[in-house]
Amino acid sequence: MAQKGHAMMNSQANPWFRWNCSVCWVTLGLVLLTILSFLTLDLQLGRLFSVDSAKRMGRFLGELLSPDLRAIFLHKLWIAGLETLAMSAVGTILAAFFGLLLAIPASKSHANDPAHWRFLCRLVLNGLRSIPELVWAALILISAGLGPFAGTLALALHTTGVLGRLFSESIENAPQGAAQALRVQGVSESQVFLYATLPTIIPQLMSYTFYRWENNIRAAAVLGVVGGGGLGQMLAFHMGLFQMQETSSILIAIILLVVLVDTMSYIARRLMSR
Amino acid sequence: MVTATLVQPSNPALRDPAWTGRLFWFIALLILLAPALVATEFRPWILLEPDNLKVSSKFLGDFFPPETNPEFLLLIAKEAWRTIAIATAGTFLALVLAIPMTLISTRVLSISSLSGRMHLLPFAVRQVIRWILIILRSVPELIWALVFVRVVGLGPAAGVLAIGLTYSGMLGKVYTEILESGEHHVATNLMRNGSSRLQAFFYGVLPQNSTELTSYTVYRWECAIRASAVLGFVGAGGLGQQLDNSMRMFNGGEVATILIVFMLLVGLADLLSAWLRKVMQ
Amino acid sequence: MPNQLSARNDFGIELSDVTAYHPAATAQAPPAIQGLSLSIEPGEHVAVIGPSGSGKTSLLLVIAAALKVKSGKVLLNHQSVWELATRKLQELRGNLFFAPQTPPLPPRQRVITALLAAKLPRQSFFASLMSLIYPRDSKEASEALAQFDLADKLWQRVDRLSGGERQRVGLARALLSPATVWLIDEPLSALDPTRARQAMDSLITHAKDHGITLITSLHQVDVATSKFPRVIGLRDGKLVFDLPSSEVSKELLADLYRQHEHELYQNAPVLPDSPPEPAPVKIIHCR
Repeated sequence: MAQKGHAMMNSQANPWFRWNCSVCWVTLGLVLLTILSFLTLDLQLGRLFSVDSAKRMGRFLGELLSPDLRAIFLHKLWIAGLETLAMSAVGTILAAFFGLLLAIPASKSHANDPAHWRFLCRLVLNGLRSIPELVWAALILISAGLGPFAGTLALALHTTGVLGRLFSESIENAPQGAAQALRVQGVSESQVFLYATLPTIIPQLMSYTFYRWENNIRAAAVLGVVGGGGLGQMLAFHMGLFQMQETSSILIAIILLVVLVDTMSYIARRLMSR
Repeated sequence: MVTATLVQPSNPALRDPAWTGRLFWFIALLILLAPALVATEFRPWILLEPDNLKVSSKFLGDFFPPETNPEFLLLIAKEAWRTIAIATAGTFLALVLAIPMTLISTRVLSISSLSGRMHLLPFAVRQVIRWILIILRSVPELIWALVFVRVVGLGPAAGVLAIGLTYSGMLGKVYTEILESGEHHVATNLMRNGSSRLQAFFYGVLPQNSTELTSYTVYRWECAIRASAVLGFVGAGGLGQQLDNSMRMFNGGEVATILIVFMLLVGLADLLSAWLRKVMQ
Repeated sequence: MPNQLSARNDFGIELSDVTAYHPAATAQAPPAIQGLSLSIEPGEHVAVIGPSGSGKTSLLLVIAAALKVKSGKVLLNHQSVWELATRKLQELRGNLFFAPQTPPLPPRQRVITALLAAKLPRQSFFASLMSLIYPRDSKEASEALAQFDLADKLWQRVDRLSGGERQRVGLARALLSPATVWLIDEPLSALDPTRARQAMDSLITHAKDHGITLITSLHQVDVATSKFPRVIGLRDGKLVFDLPSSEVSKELLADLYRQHEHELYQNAPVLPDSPPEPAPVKIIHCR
């Protein structure tokens, strides 16, 4: 909609339509894409807006409003929540470590750095990054079996790609003064990294890692849906058995976890920027 | 060597004052990490157990060559299009839901707040809308999809609804932020002179923010493509569903093909959205 | 005495007909150094003076094997620098210590770590890693700092120091480095006169005691002529004079600083504060 607004404004200043107006063409393309999408998808809108579906929706919502609050179940939920947190933390720490390990050869740290491994490492990082956690989890299930370990590894693999990419950008954009001074003294590259580059960029690396951890908590909550442990696995299990009271409690727990993480990160950001 | 470096000098001025703190945090981290490793059943060596190793190496071995049977490729192309279509339709739905909510919840466009404080009713409506936006975006799209698969049945409709709801929450929040961060006096002036809220929006607020709004929307569309590719895992159609099927059948070649298509799709969406955002500027 | 010193340090420096360009210069810019020839004996103390833009820093960088020359020969320790293999060159650079005018210290690093970084050329990777975990040689670092009246700052973070303190930390680094040649660029630019005298004395005493070749570019002409036996005058990248300090006359100086007279009497420009923080890469949230 906003695109249309933009095109409209353009047309107010200019003749209504020009052949060389790229915004008009792009807008037209997007509109066509949207129409085509709705036409080709078998959305069964009739069924979607039928009385039957409304009834089902109503029943579902009604069931959601009666969560299972037995102490024994809440305890199980608490354990699964902790498992979700642990998965995200372990996954992120592994990812930060391996991400840094790959980011160093993946970056051209100074003008005369030959960076022989740059292409290969970037390729690996991009590959890791472009496959989402959930797909990784489904792949890893085959070798690691159901459970939180598969989820942790999946988070670690995807996050390694993301963090490695961000880290290598930090390394390449780091101010060169301190590093150059050591290089001129004949200090080896690995020592230059430890004593000049790393201390310059470490706050950035930390903030990236925390940002990713925050993201991974949310991701860990849903990873279980394919069998990767945590709250998600409980959800898939109870939903599969149509146990709606338990399902409802788990859904509420996931929402609470996500809101909690959002609020904490909001507060942390406010405190840091102060 | 290690002990030699860790022996503290006798002169207190030469002792590292940060040492105890570092040691404390290091040990604290270890103490926290140990139960986390237990909770995640962190046993990397099970990957190397002969049985598992045999299964995974067979599966990975099947990756090459990727399946190139024309019939299968056609199927995958269809699913890839469905993925894009779900993302596009979902983004459209999100827009349709987000725009009215944004218009209501933006404080800039509040007529009652022109004369000092907002009235009680508009204020309450605004707060309710904000909470709805928070709830919509707090539930991950995958969970929405699971719920909708239950309600409307397997198929793309669940995916479209899931993306539409989650993204309307995100779009609504960011739109409101964008609108409220700009200069307001044009809109305020218009409304003071008696124009309606919508007129003020089109003539006072939209012009200065349109670039940012479009660029964020296009960016969301890119995210939607990534999301819709995954939603298939819970039965909401698209590439993910096909990937799930092939994986259940341990068909390495098919999985490899789908993964390649998947990466191409995400990369393409990435490039396209970057290009679109550039053109829209 | 001199004989004994040269036994410890025989690192001679010889430049012949050297021309070099500033690394960031445009194609049309004149060379930073043109046709310069000079030789410096091991253990000598030399001051380089000249108006700003005369090529003082570039000369130091050329000697530090940090700025590649366009033409001419740079002989360090009888080896032609730019014909050496990379490994040999790195080894050679371990003998040189270049202190830039603004000491480039990572902002969050502690003073002790910044100082110990000077010892890296002769340290194994493992030892330097351990030193990050618990600083070794804190005694030596503290003594070096004491020479510059900073002993109490040993455990402070670099970004908590003033500009002058940071510059003195940069100079104290020289004392810890294993180098036999010190190339020090404008060491006094951020210091008040008393501190400046004290800092210069510390450097000169240490260099004398250890037979170190000391080459310093200076804005303060009076310090150059009073503390250094040999003074080199540069202007527009060319050698104007190379004389024992007793023979540097007022007329020569006036000629050297022609049209830059204010620099003869004023102090050097004030240093900019610590280098700017790197701009964070913008992260895109899909969630």
